[in-house]
Amino acid sequence: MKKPGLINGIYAGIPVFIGYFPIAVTFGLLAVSVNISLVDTFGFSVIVFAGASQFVGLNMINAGIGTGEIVLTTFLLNFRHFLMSASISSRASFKKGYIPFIAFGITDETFSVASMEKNDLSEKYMLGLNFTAYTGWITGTVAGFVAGDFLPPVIQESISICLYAMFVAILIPAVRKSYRAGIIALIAGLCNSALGYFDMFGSGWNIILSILAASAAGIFLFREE
Amino acid sequence: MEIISIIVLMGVVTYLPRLVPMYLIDVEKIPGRLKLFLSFIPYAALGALILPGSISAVSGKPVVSALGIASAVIIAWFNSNIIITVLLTVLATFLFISAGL
Repeated sequence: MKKPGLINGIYAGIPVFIGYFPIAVTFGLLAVSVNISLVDTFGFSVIVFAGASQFVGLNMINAGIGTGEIVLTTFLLNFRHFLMSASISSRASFKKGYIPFIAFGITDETFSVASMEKNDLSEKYMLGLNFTAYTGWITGTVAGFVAGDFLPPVIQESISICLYAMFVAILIPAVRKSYRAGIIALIAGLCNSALGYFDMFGSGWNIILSILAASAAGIFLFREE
Repeated sequence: MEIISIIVLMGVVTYLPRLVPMYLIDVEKIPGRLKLFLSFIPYAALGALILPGSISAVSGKPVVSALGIASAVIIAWFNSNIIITVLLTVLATFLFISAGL
């Protein structure tokens, strides 16, 4: 079977673009409100390219918190991508030269989309997917910074559901195909909610521990099948 | 410290965990159990990302968040196009907010 190529990847990234753009606009807006320059704001989205940690980083910079703590928090918040990158690598063997670029674009959203791709993953598909997502993130950031408050509040609030809607849209077909996906997702969701509620480790740890616990539970529950 | 240097450091610690597994893992040599474990990660990650959002997706509006996510589930159940699900869910959420929930 033919592997999905660049165009398939670019197309598969459209929902991610739609989800990223408004969030990135919010990031741009927030950056204006904490008096960070356009170049730094742009740098944030170009260099870090990781939603939640950018918001957290911006807040910590604004609060005058030390660099060490900001960097450590960022590391913990984004370490879940280690698991996602490992999961992607277990499905495909990419040419070495492409790996730095494919790896750069691994986010919750691109990972989710790539994971549900039925065909074998190719380097070009991954790059296309990353390209669309990255473009949405950067253009949204700049639009938010430059154009400011161009969206009425009710629209801003409504589109904050975008990424969740996308995650649901990716998960549900998998659940319909196999109940195992639903059980593992539920275990992870309950874990993460409980850990968040008791607030013992901080959200970076919570999500990592939840993913590990639910995937491990999956092995015990489903190894016989 | 200059903001740009903080950003670069944030970028480095974000990039390395994304990069390292791709060099470490050799598809041909993964033990079966580990491969199964890794194959469950997408579902676990999605569940972990979605469920806490069912009360916090729209900030300060838990009822709207819950109804929005529930709408997404129903819409996604009957249609497999991600873009359509995203757009209809935004529309539904807009209606919930406009209804004063």
